[in-house]
Amino acid sequence: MRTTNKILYLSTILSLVLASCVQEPGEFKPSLNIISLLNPDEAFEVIVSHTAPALGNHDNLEVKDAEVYIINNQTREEILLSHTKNGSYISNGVKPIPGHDYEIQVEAPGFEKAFAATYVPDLDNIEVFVPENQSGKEKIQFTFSAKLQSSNSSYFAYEIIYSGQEIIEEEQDVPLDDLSVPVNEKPGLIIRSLNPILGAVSDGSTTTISGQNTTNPEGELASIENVSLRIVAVSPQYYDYLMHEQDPNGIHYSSVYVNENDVFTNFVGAYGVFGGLNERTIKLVE
Amino acid sequence: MRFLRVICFILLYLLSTNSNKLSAQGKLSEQWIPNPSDTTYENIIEHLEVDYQLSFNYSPNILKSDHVFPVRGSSSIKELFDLIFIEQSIDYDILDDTRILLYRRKSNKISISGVIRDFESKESIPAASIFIKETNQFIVATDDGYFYLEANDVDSLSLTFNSISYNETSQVKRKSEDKLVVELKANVNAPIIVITPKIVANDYIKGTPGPGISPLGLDEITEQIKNNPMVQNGNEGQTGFVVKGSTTDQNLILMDGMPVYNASHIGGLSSIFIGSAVKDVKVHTSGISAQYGGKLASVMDIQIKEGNTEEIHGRFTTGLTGAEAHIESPIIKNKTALSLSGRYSWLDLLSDSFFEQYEDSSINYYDVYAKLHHKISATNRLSLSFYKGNDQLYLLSEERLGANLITDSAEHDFNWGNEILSLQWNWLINKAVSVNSKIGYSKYKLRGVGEYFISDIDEQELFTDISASSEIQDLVASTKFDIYNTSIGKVNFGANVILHSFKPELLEIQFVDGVITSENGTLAEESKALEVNGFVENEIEFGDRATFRGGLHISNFSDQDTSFFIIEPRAKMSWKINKQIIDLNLSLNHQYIHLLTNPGTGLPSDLWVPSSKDISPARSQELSLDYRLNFNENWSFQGHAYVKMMTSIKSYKGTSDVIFRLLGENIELGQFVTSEPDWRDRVEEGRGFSTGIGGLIKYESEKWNFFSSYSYNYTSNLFNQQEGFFFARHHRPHDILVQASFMFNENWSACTKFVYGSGIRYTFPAEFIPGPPVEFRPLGRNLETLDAFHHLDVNIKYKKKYSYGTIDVNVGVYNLYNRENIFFTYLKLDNNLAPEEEKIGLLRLLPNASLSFSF
Repeated sequence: MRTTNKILYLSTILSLVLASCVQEPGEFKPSLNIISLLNPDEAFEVIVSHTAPALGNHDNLEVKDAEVYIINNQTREEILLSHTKNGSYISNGVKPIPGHDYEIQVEAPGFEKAFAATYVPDLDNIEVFVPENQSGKEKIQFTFSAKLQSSNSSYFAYEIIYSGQEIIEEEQDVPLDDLSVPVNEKPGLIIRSLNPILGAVSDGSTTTISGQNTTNPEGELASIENVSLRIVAVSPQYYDYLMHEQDPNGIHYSSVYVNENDVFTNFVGAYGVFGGLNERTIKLVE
Repeated sequence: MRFLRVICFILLYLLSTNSNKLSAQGKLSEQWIPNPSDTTYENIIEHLEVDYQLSFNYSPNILKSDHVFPVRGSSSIKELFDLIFIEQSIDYDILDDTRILLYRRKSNKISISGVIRDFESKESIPAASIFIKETNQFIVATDDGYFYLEANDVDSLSLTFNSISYNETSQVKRKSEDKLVVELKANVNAPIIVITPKIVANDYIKGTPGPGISPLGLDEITEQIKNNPMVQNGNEGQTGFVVKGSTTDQNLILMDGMPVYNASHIGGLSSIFIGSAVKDVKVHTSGISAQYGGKLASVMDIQIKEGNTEEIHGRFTTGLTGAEAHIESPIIKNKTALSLSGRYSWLDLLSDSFFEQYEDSSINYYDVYAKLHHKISATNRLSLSFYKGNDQLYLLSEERLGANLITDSAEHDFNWGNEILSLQWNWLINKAVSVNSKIGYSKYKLRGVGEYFISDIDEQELFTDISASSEIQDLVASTKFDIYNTSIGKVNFGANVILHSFKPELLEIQFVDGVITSENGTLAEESKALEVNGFVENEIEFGDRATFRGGLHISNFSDQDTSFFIIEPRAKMSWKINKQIIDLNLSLNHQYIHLLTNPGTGLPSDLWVPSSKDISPARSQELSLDYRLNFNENWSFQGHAYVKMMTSIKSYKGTSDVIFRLLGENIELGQFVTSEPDWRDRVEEGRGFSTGIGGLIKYESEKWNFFSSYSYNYTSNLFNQQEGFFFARHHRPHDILVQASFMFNENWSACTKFVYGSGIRYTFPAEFIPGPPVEFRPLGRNLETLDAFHHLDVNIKYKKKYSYGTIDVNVGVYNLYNRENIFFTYLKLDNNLAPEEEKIGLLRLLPNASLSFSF
């Protein structure tokens, strides 16, 4: 019995010692990096690349032999994307449907299988209200309101567009206090403010926007007939991605002190983002 | 008539017996003429029996047959008897005119008490040793130099007094004596292990005041401490010292009984201790006594010099990096003395070479010591000691980056320092009881400010201000009793009370065009805690082969919300076999006050925080084995091994670190302080495991001293199960030290030292993620290892004594082969935004020189 106790005691110590042993990392193993933003106005597109050692060569990181599937959870339609060039996989003219949930699966030789899910916001139900007796009046201040209904939680942004004004391109300088500029390659997306929107009230599935026009970019009071409302909605996954990556220079530098879990990804088995976006531009007065 | 006959008979009887005695005593006054062979008892007694008609009755074992007496000239027989009998503790009775009875004298109890002190400075020598030949017993004096010993059934005591770095002295005492004053003469070449007929050694590492090879060339008292294989030779830029896998905050540092929170200057280049101001330094790395508590790893106990009560002495040193001065003087001769010391650095002269990438930089520090000491009596003393020190580090960088013409500036300003006041009372109450009481305070203040500015092409200006500060104040009262000569050995007990006050602050404010855009962190809020400690300890000797010391340290730590009560057993078993000492130590330790350290430079951009309802005390359980062997009078060996488990150790959570962009050149403008506004929410707790083995071999002679040590250490931590165990930052498996010194003559000596250590662990963003956005991410915590750290130092000393004083000249080179020892590395984006690893070293080849004058 005494011998048994000694053996048990030594085994406990030995197991504690062995459990505290640290395994040194082996050879660097790259992971997939997948970027995809679903927009009802465009075909499905997925960019697939892979990670590399920090101090190594960062050229030619595209993955050209992956199998990329996107599944519509409402219709159960499975779409196989085809590689075009430089790691870009697109659907054959098929576009995302607003209000639908989607899953993505990516498999590539030598990499872990990757999964993610998102949905495309629905902007069909927008009602714009403009007080009466505003039409035809120039240089008069006016107000408007809009109700947005969507089947899922989304994040909204809006901006007021004046007739003849172009949507601001990505390359245009952005004031430093506007850190909401995303750093993807999609032009024209400006999230001026996100949920809760300035002046917006949310009652669950319905979001109300109200605003007041004062002057156009030239500083002149504009006629209400020349004013449009551009509304953008993004899925929560894309919202998180944008908030995580607020970096005006387009590169997020994780210093030696960063926690390894600090990198954003909504993929299982890979880095990257799989999100949804929808936008509409509505004239306040038809 | 018959009556008269009886009386006469009685008188005749008495007369005959006394006449026999008178006759025998008459013989004692006769002249003794020795033969050449009359050197042993046998020969002398035979001569007395044959030529002087004396006969002796005695038990054979009272006469030592091998005892040899010197052949003297003629003397009286009584004088002969005094020599061969009385002085050998043999008494005699004269039975009749020829017969003499010999017997062993009935012996007494002899007790001796007093104080052991330095011959030159008259300072008491802590924990000196006394060996009693007659009983083969070994006594250790108290930390105040007091001792008490006694022996029964002895006629005299042959005492040998000794201490590390002193020449031994011997005295023979035939009767009891108290208030004995024993003075030892210093000998810097004395062996570290005191060799008496019985092998003894200190159970601590002794830091001897005196020049050691330090990077700055001035006297560095802690250099010897680092010679122990269980103490790592830390990297440059690292504050404090690492003992057996500990972090630097897990060492208890006491200066005259008051805690010291940061004992290093400017990232470890120098300690705050001036050699000439310090009387004694003891570092306990294992088998820590129960009187100490509050830290997990080790104890460094420093006593400041009390001052010479008989003469004025001083020492002045100037060197390339600073100057020191020390003076001690009696105020009332043999009663009161004052000791003053100071040091000031002018490292500013070298700061440009340390930080050449900065437009402006400034480094300097100072230390001031003062102690007033008064002897109420030989066994009753009061002293008041004071210390204040301060460090300042300032760095300013300004640059334009890349093609975007963005200007960037970073300004860092660090100030930190300790202040200590201690009133001590030492009293030898009676022959067996001494008491040591202290009252005082310790303050530590650190403030680090970083101001960062960036303006873009539109001339918008973004300012980020970060400040971190720690303010700690301890009010301390303690008392300790040492009781000797109990039936159960030596007993110590005592208690202390510490009132802690903390003000940690961590704040980040961002301004854009003068408007505050974000504000995160915690403004300093003062919190208080009361710590009460008690201990009892007993040391028992089992003959001269084994000693057991067992004790309990009991503590209670409470603030307004919670209270912790902890009992820590301590045990130490020592075996002494021939010339070997083997110690087995078991100790449980706790720590209530923690240092949250940034994984980067050793600069004090860290926070001292107390345990609370959200932060539990850290604990450790340690088992260690120490082995010491003296091969002969020159060669000795020490070996150490340990296993330690730690729980509730603290660290910053990942990105919650305060990132002082001290050395980074990137345009990192992310949030430095995370959204957790309270530092309590940024602390994570985990477990640790550490084990190691090491050895030190030493050769010492009059001319040559050589030693070499090696240690292997393994330290890992666990903060969450998902992450698993990872190497601690200070996991540096191999540590090697080789040092040799040679004394050419009484004037010239030389010393060389080689240090090697494995690189420290760090977290590096090893993975490139193409994004967008592009990111760099570490694959795990502390997976990378810095390059090994090693350097070779040489030092030549010249010493010349004059009638008015002594001059010492010290010339040396630190890092002779100019190796850049990296202590920090980070990922940097060059102008083309391509990543590269930037490595930062601090000290390259550094010459040093100093000139000292002492009197």
